[in-house]
Amino acid sequence: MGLRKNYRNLTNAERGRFIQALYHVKSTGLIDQFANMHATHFFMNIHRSSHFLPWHREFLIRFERALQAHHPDVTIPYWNSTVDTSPSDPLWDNSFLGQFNAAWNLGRALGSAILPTPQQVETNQGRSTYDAFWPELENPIHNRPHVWVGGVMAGTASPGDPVFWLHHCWIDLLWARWQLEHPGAPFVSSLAGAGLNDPLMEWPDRTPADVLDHHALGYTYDIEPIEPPRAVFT
Amino acid sequence: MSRWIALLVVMLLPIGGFMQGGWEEAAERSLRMELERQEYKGHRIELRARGADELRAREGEPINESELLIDDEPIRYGQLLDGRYALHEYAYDWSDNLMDLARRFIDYRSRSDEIRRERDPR
Repeated sequence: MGLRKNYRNLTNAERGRFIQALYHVKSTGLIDQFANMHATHFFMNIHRSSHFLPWHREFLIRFERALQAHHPDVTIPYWNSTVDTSPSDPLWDNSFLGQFNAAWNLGRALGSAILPTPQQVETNQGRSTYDAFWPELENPIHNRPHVWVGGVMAGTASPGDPVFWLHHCWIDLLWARWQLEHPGAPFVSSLAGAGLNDPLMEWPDRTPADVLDHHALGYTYDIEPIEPPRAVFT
Repeated sequence: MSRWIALLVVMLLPIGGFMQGGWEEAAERSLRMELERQEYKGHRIELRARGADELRAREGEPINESELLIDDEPIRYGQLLDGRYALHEYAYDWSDNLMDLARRFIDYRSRSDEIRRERDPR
């Protein structure tokens, strides 16, 4: 079971492996492929849709597997943008994600918007139904950090900036946390074609039902109990 | 009899006036849709309807019926599932109103440029 950690809790070896894996997938053209895929589907069923969370969960796991092809122990760390709110946080050090700004011409302008607050996240975590939960998690909680980083991260091809993966890892964590706190809460479709068993954009053989249980996908988060309770997802 | 004709004319006059006003309004609205132009903080925003010829010539391409320009530069945009607009370069701020979104994009660009200048004043 892979353990996804807050980037602050990575060991030096883990940080190094993650950075090297990113350079590797950039050199193979995979980062640009993921960015193009995201841009292609941006205005379709991956945003403003009940598929927003499942689609990005599948997207992340596919990217993580690509990183693991470089080194099997790599997992995607997360950036909690309600805690790390400053451009001087270690996330942006040149020894970590800072180096990619110039190297990959990302045009970041850290601080271009306001970030979500811990209160907004907690209020959102308290929503009792999926259809009340995901729209608020998407906007403002998910949207604001994209604009705050600016440059490539603010556009439809945002996966071209490595911080995309740390940001979406946190969004995925928030979904996983909500699921664990609301066992049995059913998936609610937002429109035709966005149901539990409807195919995800790009992967016709994958549906939200396939990704509801993140433990079954082979990873857990560092905020979860060591022996996570088996939640019942419907 | 003449009293009845006079009464009929008095009754019909406002309807004619309304209809005339309605046509004028419709024509004005159509013109507004063809070209909407606005100055904002020293930038020129234009929303221009593409002609039928251009739409026919570019059939199959993912283009919008209206073209958004800021300072004569085309700005790519799209519509989300709920009908709200987003710009390709500024994709995580959504609005029902494209002109409003263009203004927000100008503000964002200005803020970003300032941040970059402060970071690297050379």
